[in-house]
Amino acid sequence: MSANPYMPMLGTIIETYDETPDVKTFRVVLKDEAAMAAFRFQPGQVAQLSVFGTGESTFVICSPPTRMDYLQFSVMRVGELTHRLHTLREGDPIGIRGPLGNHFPHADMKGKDIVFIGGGLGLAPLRTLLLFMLDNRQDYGNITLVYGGRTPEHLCFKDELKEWAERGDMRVELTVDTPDKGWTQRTGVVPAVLTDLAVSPKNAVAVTCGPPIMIRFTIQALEKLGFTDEQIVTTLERRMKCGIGLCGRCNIGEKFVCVDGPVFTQAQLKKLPQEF
Amino acid sequence: MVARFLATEALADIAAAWARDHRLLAPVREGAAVLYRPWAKDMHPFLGRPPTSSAKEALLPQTENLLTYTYRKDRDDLTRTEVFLAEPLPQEPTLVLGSRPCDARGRKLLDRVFLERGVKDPLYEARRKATLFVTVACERLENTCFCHWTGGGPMSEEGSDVLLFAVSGGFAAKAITEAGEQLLAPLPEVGPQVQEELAAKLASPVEPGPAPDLSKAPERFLKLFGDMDFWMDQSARCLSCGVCTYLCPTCSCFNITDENSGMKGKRLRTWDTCMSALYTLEGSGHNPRVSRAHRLRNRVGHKFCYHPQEFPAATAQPEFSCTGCGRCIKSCPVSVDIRSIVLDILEKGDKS
Amino acid sequence: MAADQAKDARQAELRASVISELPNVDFVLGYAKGFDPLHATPITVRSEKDAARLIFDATCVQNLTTGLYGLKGKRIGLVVKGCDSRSVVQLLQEKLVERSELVIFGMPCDGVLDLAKIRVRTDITQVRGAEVTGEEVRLLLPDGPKVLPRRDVLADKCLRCRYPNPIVSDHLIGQELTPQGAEDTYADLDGFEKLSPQERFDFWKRQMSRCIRCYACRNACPLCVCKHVCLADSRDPHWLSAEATLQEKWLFQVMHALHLAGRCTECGECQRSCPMGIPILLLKRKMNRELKELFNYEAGVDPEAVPPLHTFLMEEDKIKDRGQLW
Repeated sequence: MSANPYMPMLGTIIETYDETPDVKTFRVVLKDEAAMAAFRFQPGQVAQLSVFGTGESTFVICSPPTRMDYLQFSVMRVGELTHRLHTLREGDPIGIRGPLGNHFPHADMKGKDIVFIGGGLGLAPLRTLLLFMLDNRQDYGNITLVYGGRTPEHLCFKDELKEWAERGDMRVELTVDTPDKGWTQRTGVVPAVLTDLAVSPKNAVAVTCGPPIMIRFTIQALEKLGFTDEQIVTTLERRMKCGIGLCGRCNIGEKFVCVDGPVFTQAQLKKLPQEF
Repeated sequence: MVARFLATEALADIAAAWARDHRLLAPVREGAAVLYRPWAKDMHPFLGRPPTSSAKEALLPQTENLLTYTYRKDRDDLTRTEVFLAEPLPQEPTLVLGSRPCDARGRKLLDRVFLERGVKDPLYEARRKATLFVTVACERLENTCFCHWTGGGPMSEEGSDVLLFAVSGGFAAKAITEAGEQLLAPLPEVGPQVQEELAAKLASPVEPGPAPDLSKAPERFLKLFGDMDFWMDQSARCLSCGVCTYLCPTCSCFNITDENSGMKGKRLRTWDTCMSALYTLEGSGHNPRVSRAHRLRNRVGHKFCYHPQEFPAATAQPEFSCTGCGRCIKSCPVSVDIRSIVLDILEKGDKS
Repeated sequence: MAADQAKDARQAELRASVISELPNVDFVLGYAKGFDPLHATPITVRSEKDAARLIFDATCVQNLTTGLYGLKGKRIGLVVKGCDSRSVVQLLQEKLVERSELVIFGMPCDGVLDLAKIRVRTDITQVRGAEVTGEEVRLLLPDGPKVLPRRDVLADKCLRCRYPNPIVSDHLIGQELTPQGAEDTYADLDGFEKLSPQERFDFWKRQMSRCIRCYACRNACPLCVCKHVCLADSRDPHWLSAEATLQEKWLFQVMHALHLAGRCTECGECQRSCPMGIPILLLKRKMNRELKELFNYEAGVDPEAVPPLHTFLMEEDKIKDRGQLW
């Protein structure tokens, strides 16, 4: 890697597929095989993807460090860069800068029950941790995933959702705001499902990611169920440019989401100025 | 060490000599503004007033290349392209003539961000190592000056390589660093009269008057953080322009954008301003700092709370990310005065 | 002293008038003393205590109609000078503000100071006191008083002002004044246009090279109403590069001037706000003279008038039909 932290490594897209009408998944390898072999990261860390000529943006590496055939990114088409990214296909070059930021405190989660709570593309950061845990299944207690989307079509990682539900060593609860004809699972918002399941906070950690409004009500629901601030882990999103704590814009008080985050416990968030 | 004498009429000559092996930036008058310009023949450096802009641009230019890229078509399959990257060129040595103590002190605060926060910024570091400051000590305070509130002073040596003191017929030049000493080598030592004049100046420096105790500013800022009425009143006149942040010697936030031109282009680092709504506007349309009140709060908070939290000072007086140069006050189209905001924070944050 | 008394009486009248309207508005935008005797600063008045800070004198340079468009839906009190009232009128003409949402405190005004002019004449940063009389500006400096002829340091727009009295107002504060300015002859523009194209280009290159792209000019303009989709910021389409080149700086000013053609009331806030003192109002004056010659139109003087570039006639008096070319 270059000593210049702004210099991306070059990569190649080896596979792309659509998750939902506006989310596309990219599987990427570094061009330099030695660099790919040496690439190390932790679940929850992010990387900057470059499309040269358009710019850079931050995405979580949503494949786990236990599966290093490629790095996976799932991208919602919202702004300039993501629109351009969605036009790329297999074989196209891409820039990668990373890994950046902190990661899920998975060492502290060993031996505990894990509750993943995701909404929409918020499942992407959870996926990296979930797969990491499934690959080290013996280290963790019960694993539950509560995942919701606007419609069945808007659920990401559909094949895997099925696979996970059929594994037998974890529980998967899916819900949508608006069901379609074939939908047989839950209808309603994610926090309501949590309350309904009466998830126990005993020796448990809740990991949540999704739209801000979902996170807010999820945290309220978790608190009602008896989860403490230390037991609630979430990830934040901010507009980022440099990814290395210098350009300024992702600060919350003295902390920078790009280096001190994106992963925070609710206890850490409560200590920050309330600007999120 | 004996000071050297820089006669007013020798200023252009020595500047020209320095410009031979440095990119020399010197202040010149243009209309009502005084700004740093690259050295040119027949230039008349104007040292009589602090420049309108800060010397920050010497260390952090308004735009610079982070990298260049070139796409090349694959000869065998023209639908395929490959991309090639190139790093920017190394920095040339720079000399800033006519900076002020508040500018020079700004260097230390920029270092905090670019060299001490975590990841070192190699472009800044290279430029920083190759940049010298020949500073003019201030003879008096302007209405907008408050360097003594934030740990500086009109004659502070901090961050300078040479400090110039106005004396009869020119300047007494005092080397602060070894590099400064080398710069001054061609100049004669001061005569006894000037030496006496300088000694008198140093013995009775400009008295900036009393400064308020700002040590409680960080905690009182946090107390007022959620008081949006307070921030709305403070920001009601703000135009959300970039005057304050772009002229500030310590504001260092930047943007990164690609500028494409056919099959090649550049990735640029550009000054950015936290006063702009676009600064934090996310692709989804969500903006965590949606109003002027949120943005002004961040600017003031960064300087007077977050920076001291991030870089705790060894002394009772916190280190603020503000050198008290007053440029944000002086050039603000609507006269927003950061001093009065900080004083209001001290007062109202005590009550709330 | 009589001038002082008149000023005090007018300020008292303004404060009383503002207080009387406080129950009817969300807040009032007015002026208060700034950080030194030559600087006023805009304030929001919500209470009688705030109203006691209101002033009105030759330091009240800002045009408080800036940003008014963004306050649509609120009921706003506004202190305006004659020139500022033209911005209100233009905003009304373009239906960007609702007259019923405004309570206007009109201030007949005999001129405001141009601090850039004072800056080149004396050390403005040391001023301890200032007094403006009919003929003079007396400044108190550390080494004694400095007297400047008032006409030398008034804003250019005041020297040719034909609208000292607000065109629209709900409360007229103080006595109406007799307009002093003659028809604008654009003498400054004539002088500039006598230069060769190369000289003019060199002039702008030098001026624009000072620009730091802070966009104070844009943000201070009461008629820049594009908000966050300004062409200067747009990435798609990508009009301007982020690179701080002359070309980009110049292109923005040209586009700004074109977007304000037939809309600019020459309040001069763009130029006054420029920290680098770039004479960008000249570009807008060029546009305005063209509009005057083509359409005999002046922006912001008639609430009922339709701005010429908001409409068209099948046959324009002064625009030749291209069909006659063959």
